[in-house]
Amino acid sequence: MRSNLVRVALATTALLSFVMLLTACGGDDDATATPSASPTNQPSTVNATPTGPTPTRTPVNVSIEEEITVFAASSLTEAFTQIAEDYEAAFPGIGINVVFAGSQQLRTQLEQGAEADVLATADEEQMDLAASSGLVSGFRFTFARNRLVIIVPDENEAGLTEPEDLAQPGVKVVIGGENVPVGRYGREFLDAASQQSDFGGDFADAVLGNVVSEASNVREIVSAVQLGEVDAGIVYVTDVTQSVSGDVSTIEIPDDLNPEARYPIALTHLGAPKDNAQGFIEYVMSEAGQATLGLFGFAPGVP
Amino acid sequence: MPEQQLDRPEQRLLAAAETLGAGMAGLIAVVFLGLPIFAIIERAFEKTDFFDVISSSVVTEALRVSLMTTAVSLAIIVVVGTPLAYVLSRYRFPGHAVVDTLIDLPIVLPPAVGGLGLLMAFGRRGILGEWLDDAGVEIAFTTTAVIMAQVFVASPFYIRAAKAGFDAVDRDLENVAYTLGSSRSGAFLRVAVPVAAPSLMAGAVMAWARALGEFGATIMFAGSLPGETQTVPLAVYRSLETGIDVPLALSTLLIGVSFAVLLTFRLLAGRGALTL
Repeated sequence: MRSNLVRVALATTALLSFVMLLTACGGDDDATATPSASPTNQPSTVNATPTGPTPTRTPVNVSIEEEITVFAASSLTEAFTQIAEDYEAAFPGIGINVVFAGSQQLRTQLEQGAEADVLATADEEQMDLAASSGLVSGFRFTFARNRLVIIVPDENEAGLTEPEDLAQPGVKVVIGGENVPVGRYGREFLDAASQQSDFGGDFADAVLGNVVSEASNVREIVSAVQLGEVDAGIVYVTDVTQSVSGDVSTIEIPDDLNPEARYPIALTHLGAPKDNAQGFIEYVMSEAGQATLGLFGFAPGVP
Repeated sequence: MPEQQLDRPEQRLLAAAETLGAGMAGLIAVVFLGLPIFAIIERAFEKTDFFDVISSSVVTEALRVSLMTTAVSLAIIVVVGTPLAYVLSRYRFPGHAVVDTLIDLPIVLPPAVGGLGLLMAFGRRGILGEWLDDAGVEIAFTTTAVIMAQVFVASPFYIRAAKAGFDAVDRDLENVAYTLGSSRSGAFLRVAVPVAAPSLMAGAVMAWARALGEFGATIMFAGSLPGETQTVPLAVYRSLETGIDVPLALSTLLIGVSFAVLLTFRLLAGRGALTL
Protein backbone atom coordinates (compact mmCIF):
# COMPACT_ATOMS: atom_id res chain seq x y z
CA MET A 1 0.00 0.00 0.00
CA ARG A 2 3.03 2.27 0.08
CA SER A 3 2.64 3.03 -3.61
CA ASN A 4 -0.93 4.06 -2.92
CA LEU A 5 0.44 6.73 -0.66
CA VAL A 6 2.59 7.98 -3.52
CA ARG A 7 -0.44 8.04 -5.77
CA VAL A 8 -2.49 9.98 -3.25
CA ALA A 9 0.40 12.42 -2.95
CA LEU A 10 0.54 12.93 -6.70
CA ALA A 11 -3.25 13.34 -6.85
CA THR A 12 -2.98 15.96 -4.14
CA THR A 13 -0.30 17.70 -6.19
CA ALA A 14 -2.72 17.84 -9.09
CA LEU A 15 -5.35 19.43 -6.91
CA LEU A 16 -2.86 21.87 -5.37
CA SER A 17 -1.61 22.83 -8.82
CA PHE A 18 -5.12 23.81 -9.82
CA VAL A 19 -5.61 25.75 -6.62
CA MET A 20 -2.24 27.46 -7.09
CA LEU A 21 -3.08 28.37 -10.65
CA LEU A 22 -6.39 29.86 -9.52
CA THR A 23 -4.86 31.80 -6.65
CA ALA A 24 -2.00 32.90 -8.88
CA CYS A 25 -4.49 34.45 -11.29
CA GLY A 26 -6.42 36.02 -8.41
CA GLY A 27 -3.22 37.36 -6.89
CA ASP A 28 -2.29 38.87 -10.21
CA ASP A 29 -5.49 40.89 -10.31
CA ASP A 30 -4.79 42.18 -6.82
CA ALA A 31 -1.30 43.18 -7.80
CA THR A 32 -2.38 45.21 -10.78
CA ALA A 33 -4.99 46.97 -8.65
CA THR A 34 -2.32 48.22 -6.26
CA PRO A 35 -0.37 51.04 -7.86
CA SER A 36 2.41 51.21 -5.28
CA ALA A 37 4.08 47.97 -6.36
CA SER A 38 7.75 48.75 -6.22
CA PRO A 39 10.04 46.99 -8.69
CA THR A 40 13.08 44.99 -7.71
CA ASN A 41 16.59 46.40 -7.69
CA GLN A 42 15.52 49.52 -5.87
CA PRO A 43 18.35 51.03 -3.90
CA SER A 44 15.99 52.51 -1.34
CA THR A 45 12.31 52.98 -0.79
CA VAL A 46 11.24 55.47 1.78
CA ASN A 47 7.70 55.03 2.96
CA ALA A 48 7.07 58.28 4.68
CA THR A 49 3.56 57.34 5.81
CA PRO A 50 3.65 58.14 9.52
CA THR A 51 0.91 55.89 10.92
CA GLY A 52 -0.28 53.97 7.90
CA PRO A 53 -3.45 54.68 5.94
CA THR A 54 -6.39 55.63 8.14
CA PRO A 55 -9.25 53.13 7.81
CA THR A 56 -12.02 55.75 7.63
CA ARG A 57 -13.26 56.35 4.12
CA THR A 58 -15.41 59.33 3.26
CA PRO A 59 -17.55 58.63 0.19
CA VAL A 60 -18.15 62.36 -0.41
CA ASN A 61 -14.60 63.23 -1.43
CA VAL A 62 -12.60 60.38 -2.98
CA SER A 63 -9.31 62.23 -2.91
CA ILE A 64 -9.27 62.48 0.86
CA GLU A 65 -7.21 59.27 0.86
CA GLU A 66 -4.60 58.66 -1.78
CA GLU A 67 -1.27 56.91 -2.06
CA ILE A 68 1.12 58.40 -4.56
CA THR A 69 4.54 57.21 -5.61
CA VAL A 70 7.30 59.68 -6.41
CA PHE A 71 10.45 58.59 -8.27
CA ALA A 72 13.22 60.97 -7.29
CA ALA A 73 16.94 61.31 -8.03
CA SER A 74 19.29 60.03 -5.30
CA SER A 75 20.60 63.51 -4.55
CA LEU A 76 17.08 64.47 -3.40
CA THR A 77 17.01 61.78 -0.66
CA GLU A 78 16.94 64.04 2.41
CA ALA A 79 15.04 66.95 0.84
CA PHE A 80 12.24 64.86 -0.68
CA THR A 81 11.89 62.67 2.42
CA GLN A 82 11.27 65.89 4.36
CA ILE A 83 8.93 67.34 1.75
CA ALA A 84 6.91 64.11 1.64
CA GLU A 85 6.57 64.19 5.43
CA ASP A 86 5.50 67.83 5.33
CA TYR A 87 2.96 67.13 2.61
CA GLU A 88 1.50 64.22 4.55
CA ALA A 89 1.28 66.36 7.67
CA ALA A 90 -0.53 69.06 5.72
CA PHE A 91 -2.93 66.63 4.05
CA PRO A 92 -3.85 63.85 6.47
CA GLY A 93 -4.81 60.63 4.74
CA ILE A 94 -2.41 61.14 1.86
CA GLY A 95 0.54 58.78 1.67
CA ILE A 96 3.65 59.75 -0.32
CA ASN A 97 6.05 56.93 -1.16
CA VAL A 98 9.34 58.21 -2.49
CA VAL A 99 11.71 55.87 -4.34
CA PHE A 100 15.27 57.14 -4.71
CA ALA A 101 17.74 55.95 -7.35
CA GLY A 102 19.92 57.32 -10.13
CA SER A 103 17.74 59.36 -12.53
CA GLN A 104 18.62 57.03 -15.42
CA GLN A 105 17.62 54.02 -13.30
CA LEU A 106 14.26 55.58 -12.45
CA ARG A 107 13.65 56.35 -16.11
CA THR A 108 14.62 52.79 -17.09
CA GLN A 109 12.34 51.32 -14.42
CA LEU A 110 9.41 53.38 -15.70
CA GLU A 111 10.14 52.11 -19.20
CA GLN A 112 10.09 48.55 -17.88
CA GLY A 113 6.69 49.01 -16.28
CA ALA A 114 7.36 50.36 -12.78
CA GLU A 115 4.51 52.52 -11.57
CA ALA A 116 4.98 56.04 -10.29
CA ASP A 117 2.90 59.19 -10.35
CA VAL A 118 5.67 61.78 -10.31
CA LEU A 119 9.21 61.74 -11.73
CA ALA A 120 11.91 64.11 -10.48
CA THR A 121 15.30 63.78 -12.18
CA ALA A 122 18.66 65.48 -11.70
CA ASP A 123 19.02 66.49 -15.32
CA GLU A 124 16.96 67.48 -18.35
CA GLU A 125 18.44 64.67 -20.43
CA GLN A 126 16.83 61.83 -18.47
CA MET A 127 13.51 63.73 -18.36
CA ASP A 128 13.73 64.24 -22.13
CA LEU A 129 14.31 60.52 -22.62
CA ALA A 130 11.33 59.74 -20.37
CA ALA A 131 9.21 62.20 -22.36
CA SER A 132 10.27 60.74 -25.70
CA SER A 133 9.25 57.30 -24.43
CA GLY A 134 5.84 58.79 -23.65
CA LEU A 135 6.28 58.22 -19.93
CA VAL A 136 5.78 61.76 -18.66
CA SER A 137 3.59 64.67 -19.61
CA GLY A 138 5.24 67.38 -21.66
CA PHE A 139 4.60 69.89 -18.93
CA ARG A 140 7.42 70.15 -16.43
CA PHE A 141 8.90 72.49 -13.87
CA THR A 142 12.51 73.14 -12.95
CA PHE A 143 12.12 72.92 -9.20
CA ALA A 144 15.73 73.09 -8.02
CA ARG A 145 19.28 73.78 -9.11
CA ASN A 146 22.54 72.41 -7.82
CA ARG A 147 26.32 72.65 -8.22
CA LEU A 148 29.22 70.23 -8.11
CA VAL A 149 31.93 69.90 -5.52
CA ILE A 150 34.91 67.57 -5.10
CA ILE A 151 34.94 65.53 -1.91
CA VAL A 152 37.94 63.78 -0.36
CA PRO A 153 38.14 61.56 2.75
CA ASP A 154 38.89 63.46 5.94
CA GLU A 155 42.31 61.81 6.18
CA ASN A 156 43.00 62.91 2.60
CA GLU A 157 45.78 60.36 2.11
CA ALA A 158 46.44 61.60 -1.41
CA GLY A 159 46.94 65.16 -0.12
CA LEU A 160 44.53 66.81 -2.55
CA THR A 161 43.91 70.52 -2.08
CA GLU A 162 42.69 71.92 -5.39
CA PRO A 163 40.71 70.67 -8.40
CA GLU A 164 43.90 70.38 -10.48
CA ASP A 165 45.11 67.63 -8.10
CA LEU A 166 42.52 65.20 -9.46
CA ALA A 167 44.85 64.68 -12.41
CA GLN A 168 47.85 63.67 -10.27
CA PRO A 169 49.04 60.17 -11.17
CA GLY A 170 47.74 57.41 -8.92
CA VAL A 171 44.85 59.35 -7.41
CA LYS A 172 41.79 57.09 -7.15
CA VAL A 173 38.70 58.91 -8.37
CA VAL A 174 35.04 57.85 -8.53
CA ILE A 175 32.59 59.69 -10.77
CA GLY A 176 29.13 58.93 -12.09
CA GLY A 177 28.62 56.88 -15.23
CA GLU A 178 28.25 58.72 -18.52
CA ASN A 179 24.45 58.60 -18.48
CA VAL A 180 24.13 59.29 -14.75
CA PRO A 181 23.37 63.01 -14.30
CA VAL A 182 26.19 63.61 -11.81
CA GLY A 183 28.57 61.80 -14.17
CA ARG A 184 27.44 63.88 -17.11
CA TYR A 185 27.84 67.15 -15.19
CA GLY A 186 31.19 65.92 -13.87
CA ARG A 187 32.47 65.34 -17.39
CA GLU A 188 31.21 68.81 -18.37
CA PHE A 189 33.41 70.23 -15.62
CA LEU A 190 36.41 68.17 -16.73
CA ASP A 191 35.98 69.30 -20.34
CA ALA A 192 35.52 72.94 -19.36
CA ALA A 193 38.63 72.79 -17.15
CA SER A 194 40.68 71.30 -19.97
CA GLN A 195 40.08 74.53 -21.94
CA GLN A 196 41.89 76.51 -19.25
CA SER A 197 45.64 76.90 -19.17
CA ASP A 198 46.03 76.32 -15.42
CA PHE A 199 44.43 72.88 -15.81
CA GLY A 200 46.01 71.96 -19.12
CA GLY A 201 44.51 70.36 -22.19
CA ASP A 202 44.99 66.81 -20.99
CA PHE A 203 43.28 67.41 -17.62
CA ALA A 204 40.06 65.58 -18.53
CA ASP A 205 41.90 62.57 -19.94
CA ALA A 206 44.21 62.39 -16.93
CA VAL A 207 41.29 62.48 -14.47
CA LEU A 208 39.29 59.92 -16.45
CA GLY A 209 42.40 57.73 -16.39
CA ASN A 210 42.34 57.97 -12.59
CA VAL A 211 38.72 56.82 -12.39
CA VAL A 212 38.53 53.45 -10.62
CA SER A 213 34.73 53.07 -10.68
CA GLU A 214 31.74 54.63 -12.40
CA ALA A 215 28.81 54.91 -10.01
CA SER A 216 25.17 54.55 -10.96
CA ASN A 217 24.01 57.17 -8.50
CA VAL A 218 25.66 59.99 -6.60
CA ARG A 219 25.27 58.39 -3.17
CA GLU A 220 27.50 55.49 -4.27
CA ILE A 221 30.26 58.05 -4.87
CA VAL A 222 29.68 59.63 -1.47
CA SER A 223 29.91 56.30 0.37
CA ALA A 224 33.09 55.24 -1.47
CA VAL A 225 34.78 58.50 -0.37
CA GLN A 226 33.23 58.40 3.10
CA LEU A 227 34.63 54.88 3.60
CA GLY A 228 38.03 56.19 2.54
CA GLU A 229 38.27 53.57 -0.20
CA VAL A 230 39.01 56.17 -2.87
CA ASP A 231 40.83 59.50 -2.85
CA ALA A 232 38.19 61.75 -4.38
CA GLY A 233 34.73 61.92 -5.88
CA ILE A 234 32.75 64.50 -7.82
CA VAL A 235 29.31 65.00 -6.26
CA TYR A 236 26.70 67.73 -5.73
CA VAL A 237 27.24 70.33 -3.02
CA THR A 238 23.96 69.13 -1.47
CA ASP A 239 25.38 65.64 -0.95
CA VAL A 240 27.72 66.87 1.75
CA THR A 241 24.96 66.45 4.34
CA GLN A 242 25.38 66.64 8.11
CA SER A 243 25.83 62.88 8.36
CA VAL A 244 28.58 62.96 5.73
CA SER A 245 30.42 66.20 6.51
CA GLY A 246 32.26 64.68 9.49
CA ASP A 247 33.97 62.14 7.24
CA VAL A 248 34.81 64.17 4.14
CA SER A 249 36.37 67.48 3.19
CA THR A 250 35.39 69.49 0.14
CA ILE A 251 37.40 71.09 -2.62
CA GLU A 252 35.50 73.89 -4.36
CA ILE A 253 35.17 73.93 -8.13
CA PRO A 254 35.50 77.47 -9.57
CA ASP A 255 32.09 78.93 -10.53
CA ASP A 256 32.98 79.46 -14.19
CA LEU A 257 33.80 75.74 -14.56
CA ASN A 258 30.97 74.46 -12.40
CA PRO A 259 27.98 73.34 -14.49
CA GLU A 260 24.56 74.17 -13.13
CA ALA A 261 22.48 71.05 -12.47
CA ARG A 262 18.80 71.64 -13.20
CA TYR A 263 16.17 69.34 -11.66
CA PRO A 264 12.93 68.90 -13.62
CA ILE A 265 9.74 67.39 -12.14
CA ALA A 266 6.76 66.07 -14.12
CA LEU A 267 3.63 63.96 -13.86
CA THR A 268 3.93 60.51 -15.35
CA HIS A 269 1.48 59.26 -17.93
CA LEU A 270 0.88 55.99 -16.16
CA GLY A 271 -2.55 55.03 -14.85
CA ALA A 272 -5.31 57.37 -13.78
CA PRO A 273 -4.17 60.87 -12.87
CA LYS A 274 -4.22 61.52 -9.16
CA ASP A 275 -5.10 64.85 -7.55
CA ASN A 276 -2.26 64.62 -5.11
CA ALA A 277 0.36 63.91 -7.76
CA GLN A 278 -0.33 67.36 -9.19
CA GLY A 279 -0.70 68.61 -5.61
CA PHE A 280 2.73 67.29 -4.68
CA ILE A 281 4.37 69.04 -7.64
CA GLU A 282 2.61 72.27 -6.72
CA TYR A 283 3.81 71.86 -3.14
CA VAL A 284 7.42 71.36 -4.31
CA MET A 285 7.15 74.57 -6.34
CA SER A 286 5.43 76.45 -3.47
CA GLU A 287 7.25 78.77 -1.08
CA ALA A 288 7.23 76.08 1.62
CA GLY A 289 8.61 73.40 -0.71
CA GLN A 290 11.29 75.73 -2.06
CA ALA A 291 12.24 76.72 1.48
CA THR A 292 12.75 73.06 2.41
CA LEU A 293 14.90 72.49 -0.68
CA GLY A 294 16.87 75.61 0.27
CA LEU A 295 17.38 74.17 3.76
CA PHE A 296 19.09 71.17 2.17
CA GLY A 297 21.33 73.36 0.04
CA PHE A 298 19.50 73.48 -3.29
CA ALA A 299 19.25 76.71 -5.23
CA PRO A 300 15.67 77.74 -6.01
CA GLY A 301 13.93 76.42 -9.10
CA VAL A 302 12.76 78.44 -12.06
CA PRO A 303 9.12 79.42 -11.57
CA MET B 1 1.55 -3.40 -7.08
CA PRO B 2 -0.57 -6.40 -8.18
CA GLU B 3 -1.95 -6.05 -11.68
CA GLN B 4 -5.65 -6.72 -10.88
CA GLN B 5 -5.85 -3.66 -8.56
CA LEU B 6 -5.78 -1.41 -11.61
CA ASP B 7 -9.16 -2.75 -12.64
CA ARG B 8 -10.86 -1.23 -9.66
CA PRO B 9 -12.49 2.10 -10.70
CA GLU B 10 -11.09 4.16 -7.81
CA GLN B 11 -7.61 2.91 -8.65
CA ARG B 12 -8.00 3.99 -12.24
CA LEU B 13 -9.18 7.40 -11.10
CA LEU B 14 -6.18 7.63 -8.85
CA ALA B 15 -3.91 6.63 -11.73
CA ALA B 16 -5.37 9.38 -13.91
CA ALA B 17 -5.02 11.93 -11.12
CA GLU B 18 -1.40 11.03 -10.43
CA THR B 19 -0.49 11.36 -14.08
CA LEU B 20 -2.24 14.72 -14.19
CA GLY B 21 -0.57 15.78 -10.96
CA ALA B 22 2.91 14.96 -12.10
CA GLY B 23 2.23 16.50 -15.50
CA MET B 24 0.86 19.74 -14.10
CA ALA B 25 3.64 20.19 -11.55
CA GLY B 26 6.24 19.41 -14.19
CA LEU B 27 4.72 21.76 -16.73
CA ILE B 28 4.51 24.63 -14.28
CA ALA B 29 8.13 24.13 -13.28
CA VAL B 30 9.39 23.87 -16.86
CA VAL B 31 7.47 26.96 -18.00
CA PHE B 32 8.55 28.96 -14.97
CA LEU B 33 12.21 28.07 -15.38
CA GLY B 34 12.28 28.05 -19.14
CA LEU B 35 10.22 31.06 -20.15
CA PRO B 36 12.56 33.80 -18.88
CA ILE B 37 15.48 32.08 -20.63
CA PHE B 38 13.51 31.71 -23.84
CA ALA B 39 12.28 35.31 -23.60
CA ILE B 40 15.81 36.72 -23.39
CA ILE B 41 17.04 34.75 -26.39
CA GLU B 42 13.94 35.47 -28.46
CA ARG B 43 14.12 39.22 -27.77
CA ALA B 44 17.87 39.35 -28.29
CA PHE B 45 17.48 38.14 -31.85
CA GLU B 46 14.14 39.80 -32.61
CA LYS B 47 14.77 43.28 -31.28
CA THR B 48 18.41 43.79 -32.07
CA ASP B 49 21.12 42.93 -34.51
CA PHE B 50 22.66 40.40 -32.18
CA PHE B 51 25.99 40.01 -33.95
CA ASP B 52 26.50 43.77 -34.24
CA VAL B 53 25.84 44.18 -30.56
CA ILE B 54 28.16 41.40 -29.37
CA SER B 55 31.04 42.92 -31.26
CA SER B 56 30.57 46.28 -29.51
CA SER B 57 33.28 47.27 -27.04
CA VAL B 58 31.03 47.15 -23.96
CA VAL B 59 30.35 43.48 -24.68
CA THR B 60 33.86 42.38 -25.66
CA GLU B 61 35.45 44.23 -22.72
CA ALA B 62 33.00 42.69 -20.25
CA LEU B 63 33.56 39.23 -21.70
CA ARG B 64 37.32 39.65 -21.51
CA VAL B 65 37.17 40.77 -17.87
CA SER B 66 34.78 37.94 -16.98
CA LEU B 67 36.76 35.18 -18.67
CA MET B 68 40.07 36.39 -17.27
CA THR B 69 38.87 36.86 -13.69
CA THR B 70 36.85 33.62 -13.50
CA ALA B 71 39.81 31.62 -14.86
CA VAL B 72 42.11 33.02 -12.17
CA SER B 73 39.42 32.58 -9.50
CA LEU B 74 38.87 28.96 -10.46
CA ALA B 75 42.60 28.23 -10.37
CA ILE B 76 42.88 29.71 -6.87
CA ILE B 77 39.78 27.85 -5.67
CA VAL B 78 41.07 24.50 -6.94
CA VAL B 79 44.64 24.92 -5.68
CA VAL B 80 43.60 26.08 -2.20
CA GLY B 81 40.29 24.28 -1.92
CA THR B 82 41.38 20.74 -2.83
CA PRO B 83 43.80 20.19 0.09
CA LEU B 84 41.34 21.90 2.46
CA ALA B 85 38.51 19.61 1.33
CA TYR B 86 40.81 16.59 1.76
CA VAL B 87 41.78 17.61 5.30
CA LEU B 88 38.13 18.21 6.21
CA SER B 89 37.23 14.81 4.81
CA ARG B 90 40.06 12.79 6.39
CA TYR B 91 40.75 14.38 9.76
CA ARG B 92 38.62 15.29 12.77
CA PHE B 93 40.05 18.15 14.79
CA PRO B 94 38.69 20.62 17.36
CA GLY B 95 36.57 23.18 15.55
CA HIS B 96 36.00 20.90 12.57
CA ALA B 97 32.27 21.62 12.53
CA VAL B 98 32.92 25.37 12.81
CA VAL B 99 35.32 25.38 9.85
CA ASP B 100 32.88 23.26 7.87
CA THR B 101 30.03 25.68 8.60
CA LEU B 102 32.18 28.73 7.91
CA ILE B 103 32.98 27.36 4.46
CA ASP B 104 29.29 26.92 3.67
CA LEU B 105 28.39 30.38 4.94
CA PRO B 106 28.97 32.33 1.68
CA ILE B 107 26.40 30.07 -0.03
CA VAL B 108 23.59 31.38 2.15
CA LEU B 109 24.90 34.90 2.77
CA PRO B 110 23.67 37.68 0.47
CA PRO B 111 26.63 38.56 -1.80
CA ALA B 112 26.28 42.18 -0.71
CA VAL B 113 27.20 41.07 2.82
CA GLY B 114 30.24 39.35 1.34
CA GLY B 115 31.18 42.57 -0.46
CA LEU B 116 30.87 44.61 2.70
CA GLY B 117 32.93 42.04 4.59
CA LEU B 118 35.68 42.15 1.97
CA LEU B 119 35.74 45.96 2.21
CA MET B 120 35.97 45.83 6.00
CA ALA B 121 38.77 43.25 5.81
CA PHE B 122 40.77 44.24 2.73
CA GLY B 123 39.55 47.78 2.03
CA ARG B 124 41.90 50.68 2.62
CA ARG B 125 40.72 51.08 6.18
CA GLY B 126 40.02 47.38 6.64
CA ILE B 127 41.56 45.11 9.25
CA LEU B 128 44.22 43.75 6.91
CA GLY B 129 43.77 46.47 4.32
CA GLU B 130 45.35 49.10 6.54
CA TRP B 131 48.61 47.14 6.65
CA LEU B 132 48.44 46.36 2.96
CA ASP B 133 47.83 50.03 2.21
CA ASP B 134 50.94 50.99 4.20
CA ALA B 135 52.86 48.42 2.17
CA GLY B 136 51.57 50.06 -1.00
CA VAL B 137 49.14 47.28 -1.91
CA GLU B 138 45.66 48.49 -2.80
CA ILE B 139 42.96 45.95 -3.51
CA ALA B 140 39.53 47.61 -3.42
CA PHE B 141 38.33 48.82 -6.85
CA THR B 142 40.89 46.76 -8.79
CA THR B 143 40.68 43.61 -10.90
CA THR B 144 42.19 41.75 -7.92
CA ALA B 145 39.09 42.76 -5.94
CA VAL B 146 36.88 41.20 -8.64
CA ILE B 147 38.77 37.92 -8.29
CA MET B 148 38.62 38.00 -4.49
CA ALA B 149 34.86 38.59 -4.57
CA GLN B 150 34.46 35.62 -6.93
CA VAL B 151 36.64 33.35 -4.81
CA PHE B 152 34.68 34.34 -1.71
CA VAL B 153 31.27 33.48 -3.11
CA ALA B 154 32.23 30.53 -5.35
CA SER B 155 34.75 28.49 -3.36
CA PRO B 156 32.14 26.81 -1.09
CA PHE B 157 30.61 25.16 -4.14
CA TYR B 158 33.93 23.54 -5.00
CA ILE B 159 34.99 22.66 -1.46
CA ARG B 160 31.63 21.00 -0.68
CA ALA B 161 31.75 18.85 -3.82
CA ALA B 162 35.42 17.99 -3.31
CA LYS B 163 34.83 16.99 0.31
CA ALA B 164 31.92 14.76 -0.70
CA GLY B 165 34.17 13.23 -3.37
CA PHE B 166 36.97 12.50 -0.90
CA ASP B 167 34.43 11.08 1.58
CA ALA B 168 33.44 8.55 -1.07
CA VAL B 169 37.00 7.41 -1.84
CA ASP B 170 37.68 3.91 -0.47
CA ARG B 171 40.15 4.31 2.41
CA ASP B 172 41.67 0.93 1.61
CA LEU B 173 43.06 2.38 -1.60
CA GLU B 174 44.98 5.01 0.33
CA ASN B 175 46.07 2.44 2.94
CA VAL B 176 47.48 0.28 0.18
CA ALA B 177 49.42 3.29 -1.05
CA TYR B 178 50.84 3.83 2.45
CA THR B 179 51.93 0.18 2.73
CA LEU B 180 53.66 0.59 -0.60
CA GLY B 181 55.66 3.42 0.93
CA SER B 182 53.69 6.39 -0.30
CA SER B 183 53.76 9.60 1.74
CA ARG B 184 50.56 11.37 2.79
CA SER B 185 50.84 13.89 0.00
CA GLY B 186 51.64 11.04 -2.38
CA ALA B 187 48.46 9.19 -1.37
CA PHE B 188 46.53 12.44 -1.73
CA LEU B 189 47.88 13.35 -5.14
CA ARG B 190 48.18 9.88 -6.75
CA VAL B 191 45.20 8.10 -5.17
CA ALA B 192 42.57 10.36 -3.61
CA VAL B 193 42.58 13.11 -6.25
CA PRO B 194 42.36 10.81 -9.31
CA VAL B 195 39.62 8.67 -7.71
CA ALA B 196 37.63 11.73 -6.62
CA ALA B 197 38.26 13.48 -9.96
CA PRO B 198 34.63 13.39 -11.19
CA SER B 199 33.44 15.14 -8.02
CA LEU B 200 36.28 17.66 -8.25
CA MET B 201 35.30 18.39 -11.86
CA ALA B 202 31.65 18.77 -10.91
CA GLY B 203 32.56 21.13 -8.09
CA ALA B 204 34.86 23.14 -10.33
CA VAL B 205 32.10 23.60 -12.91
CA MET B 206 29.61 24.77 -10.30
CA ALA B 207 32.16 27.12 -8.73
CA TRP B 208 33.08 28.56 -12.12
CA ALA B 209 29.43 29.14 -12.99
CA ARG B 210 28.87 30.86 -9.67
CA ALA B 211 31.94 33.07 -10.19
CA LEU B 212 30.78 33.98 -13.69
CA GLY B 213 27.42 35.13 -12.33
CA GLU B 214 28.82 37.00 -9.34
CA PHE B 215 27.40 40.51 -8.97
CA GLY B 216 26.68 41.80 -5.46
CA ALA B 217 30.05 41.35 -3.78
CA THR B 218 31.84 42.54 -6.92
CA ILE B 219 30.01 45.84 -7.28
CA MET B 220 30.59 46.65 -3.60
CA PHE B 221 34.22 45.64 -3.35
CA ALA B 222 35.49 46.24 -6.88
CA GLY B 223 33.13 48.89 -8.26
CA SER B 224 32.31 48.98 -11.95
CA LEU B 225 34.73 50.24 -14.56
CA PRO B 226 34.57 49.01 -18.16
CA GLY B 227 37.68 47.03 -19.11
CA GLU B 228 38.94 46.79 -15.52
CA THR B 229 36.29 45.61 -13.10
CA GLN B 230 33.10 45.49 -15.14
CA THR B 231 32.25 41.81 -15.58
CA VAL B 232 29.39 40.55 -17.74
CA PRO B 233 26.77 40.62 -14.94
CA LEU B 234 27.79 44.18 -14.02
CA ALA B 235 27.63 45.20 -17.67
CA VAL B 236 24.14 43.70 -17.97
CA TYR B 237 22.99 45.78 -15.01
CA ARG B 238 24.67 49.02 -16.08
CA SER B 239 23.87 48.86 -19.78
CA LEU B 240 20.17 48.43 -19.02
CA GLU B 241 20.25 52.14 -18.25
CA THR B 242 21.05 53.05 -21.82
CA GLY B 243 18.89 50.54 -23.67
CA ILE B 244 17.84 46.94 -23.89
CA ASP B 245 20.07 45.75 -26.79
CA VAL B 246 23.34 45.23 -24.93
CA PRO B 247 21.82 43.59 -21.81
CA LEU B 248 19.87 41.17 -24.02
CA ALA B 249 22.91 40.24 -26.08
CA LEU B 250 25.14 39.83 -23.02
CA SER B 251 22.52 37.75 -21.26
CA THR B 252 22.12 35.54 -24.30
CA LEU B 253 25.87 34.97 -24.40
CA LEU B 254 25.94 34.17 -20.69
CA ILE B 255 23.03 31.74 -21.06
CA GLY B 256 24.65 30.08 -24.05
CA VAL B 257 28.05 29.67 -22.41
CA SER B 258 26.61 28.44 -19.11
CA PHE B 259 24.22 26.01 -20.77
CA ALA B 260 26.91 24.63 -23.06
CA VAL B 261 29.37 24.08 -20.21
CA LEU B 262 26.83 22.41 -17.94
CA LEU B 263 25.46 20.22 -20.72
CA THR B 264 28.88 19.18 -22.04
CA PHE B 265 29.98 18.29 -18.57
CA ARG B 266 26.79 16.31 -17.92
CA LEU B 267 27.25 14.38 -21.15
CA LEU B 268 30.96 13.71 -20.63
CA ALA B 269 31.15 12.97 -16.93
CA GLY B 270 27.57 11.86 -16.46
CA ARG B 271 26.54 9.08 -14.11
CA GLY B 272 27.25 9.49 -10.43
CA ALA B 273 29.65 12.39 -10.58
CA LEU B 274 26.93 15.01 -10.46
CA THR B 275 25.54 14.27 -7.04
CA LEU B 276 25.73 17.83 -5.78
